[in-house]
Amino acid sequence: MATQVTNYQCPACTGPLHYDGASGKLECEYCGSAYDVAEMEKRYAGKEAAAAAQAAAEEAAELGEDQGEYTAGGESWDPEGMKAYSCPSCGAELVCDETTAATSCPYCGNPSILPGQFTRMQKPDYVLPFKLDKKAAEDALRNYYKGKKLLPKAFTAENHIREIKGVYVPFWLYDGEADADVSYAATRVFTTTRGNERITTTEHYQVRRAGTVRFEKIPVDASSKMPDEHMDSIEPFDYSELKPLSTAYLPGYLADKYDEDAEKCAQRADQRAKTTALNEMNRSVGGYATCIPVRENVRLRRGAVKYALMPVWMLSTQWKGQNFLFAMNGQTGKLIGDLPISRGRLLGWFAGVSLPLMAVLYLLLGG
Amino acid sequence: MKKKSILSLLLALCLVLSLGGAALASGEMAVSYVMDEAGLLPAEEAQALESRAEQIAQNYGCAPYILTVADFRDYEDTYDIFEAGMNLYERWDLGYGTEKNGLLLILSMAERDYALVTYGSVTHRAFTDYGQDYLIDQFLDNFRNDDWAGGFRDYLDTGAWLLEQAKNGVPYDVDTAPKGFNPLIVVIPLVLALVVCLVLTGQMKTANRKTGAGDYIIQNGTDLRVVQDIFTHRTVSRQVIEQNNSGGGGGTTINSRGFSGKSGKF
Repeated sequence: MATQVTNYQCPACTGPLHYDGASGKLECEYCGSAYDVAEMEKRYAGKEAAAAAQAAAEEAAELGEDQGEYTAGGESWDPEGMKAYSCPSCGAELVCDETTAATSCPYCGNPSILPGQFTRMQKPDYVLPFKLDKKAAEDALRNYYKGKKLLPKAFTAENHIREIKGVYVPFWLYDGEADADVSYAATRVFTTTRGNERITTTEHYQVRRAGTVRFEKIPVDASSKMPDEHMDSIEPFDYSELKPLSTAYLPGYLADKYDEDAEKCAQRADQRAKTTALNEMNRSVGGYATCIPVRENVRLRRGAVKYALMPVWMLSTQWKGQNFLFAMNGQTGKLIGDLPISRGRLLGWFAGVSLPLMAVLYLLLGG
Repeated sequence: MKKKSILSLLLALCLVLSLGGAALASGEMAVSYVMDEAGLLPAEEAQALESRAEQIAQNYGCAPYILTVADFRDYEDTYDIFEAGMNLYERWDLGYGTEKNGLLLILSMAERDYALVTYGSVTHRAFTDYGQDYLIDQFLDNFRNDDWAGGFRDYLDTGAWLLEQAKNGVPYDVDTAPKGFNPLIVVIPLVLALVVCLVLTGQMKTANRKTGAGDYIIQNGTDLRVVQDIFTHRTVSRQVIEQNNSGGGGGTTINSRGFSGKSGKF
């Protein structure tokens, strides 16, 4: 019987394959064989199509039944937004979010793909494959702690990585143009001294800048599960390495489909485009002592919207009962996340900078 | 004019014959140091001030005088109280020793004018322009509150202290005066420490929403259609540069008659 779940198996030993970012190949954990993505895509094209078709058929069947009941195929539609699938390797039940598109079986550990997730909703246009592995993420986190003067001393020793997972996060990529028209009140100031008089001459100007700023692929994460601050902060991604979607890049990682649509997320892209268009106009005004915007008008024209899966390592640690979440760009290695601040160290730095400086200034300027 | 001369002569006679008149250094005419013509001081207070002034004159060779009058214009034909002070100093032959070292503080009650007149090399060395300002600061607040005795005590005590500084070889002046506390000593380090702490705190908070999209502008993607800079008008403001009257480099400003000093209102 066809299933909605597929996994990539090693043609040599039938062991599970996972995508290795460093080599850019699908590798077998057991026999060490490595396969090109294109080769495996070709080999698994039929299997994926069958899984997708099965998903479509079951979805159609679900529409005719009440929610909450099991489908004929034994796979379920849970009222709280969970889905259950059968692991094609060991047969165990995989319970996932309804947005999950790639996961691993908690029993046998085999990476599993749910191709139907990308057909029922919009299929991603691109995937940006992982380049950095789990170890790189762990090393990056350790390095991230270094040089943080306000980090509590015990944090590095006592906190433990609770969870680390590589996730293909859904992003919308927006193209567009912003027509900006800004008027400014600007001044130039000249000062001369004549006798015992200081003469200040102020020239007033009416300045106007208008133009178009074109944007390409402004990213906005399309998953409500991912904190926007973390996803924004690991930007930018190198788009030159975007690939057309292939599920062959997903084994070994988690993947979600979007649960925030392009229209909803467009507001954030619009706001960012508007701010940058105004900044571009401001940057073009120079040579004035003061320059105050008196009228700003920005008109946005949205262009193409693409749907892409971006590689992100999510790391969470716990210290003194508090969770700390970090995100690393799986392509560039940029890692971000908020750290705890030692109040004692903060006060120490404040006193350590201010008091000696006061002593030096006291000696220089006199008391 | 005749009335003024008579008043002046009478006052001079009073000075010479006054009870408290101090015998100045050998051969000096006995002159009172405190001449309270405006009647501001009780007798015992005037006596105490007289004794203190005499003590200062003996110790430092510089005689400090106090003169209070209803209106200085009754004594001298001038509208300048400082000029009146110089005239009276000369006419009454005030000062200690042959060099006539001394200082005279006049209060004229009609329009609440005061003048501080100094004379002689010993006096000029001790009462620099900066020192005169300091001395005036000490007594002026008392006079503004009608605390006459307190103001004169401050005048004599501070005058004695300035003479002591000069006697010790370090006259009170711009370069030698102890400076007031400079608030920059505290403000600059606090601001700098705050900036350092903000930078360090910023390193701990790296998850922030992006507000711009500068990374996603396509190459040569900014086209400016309108670049207008139109001159509209010009405004001119003038400000008088305040001259520093304290002398800046220090020392004592002495006029052509050999006097130094200052005057004003209290």
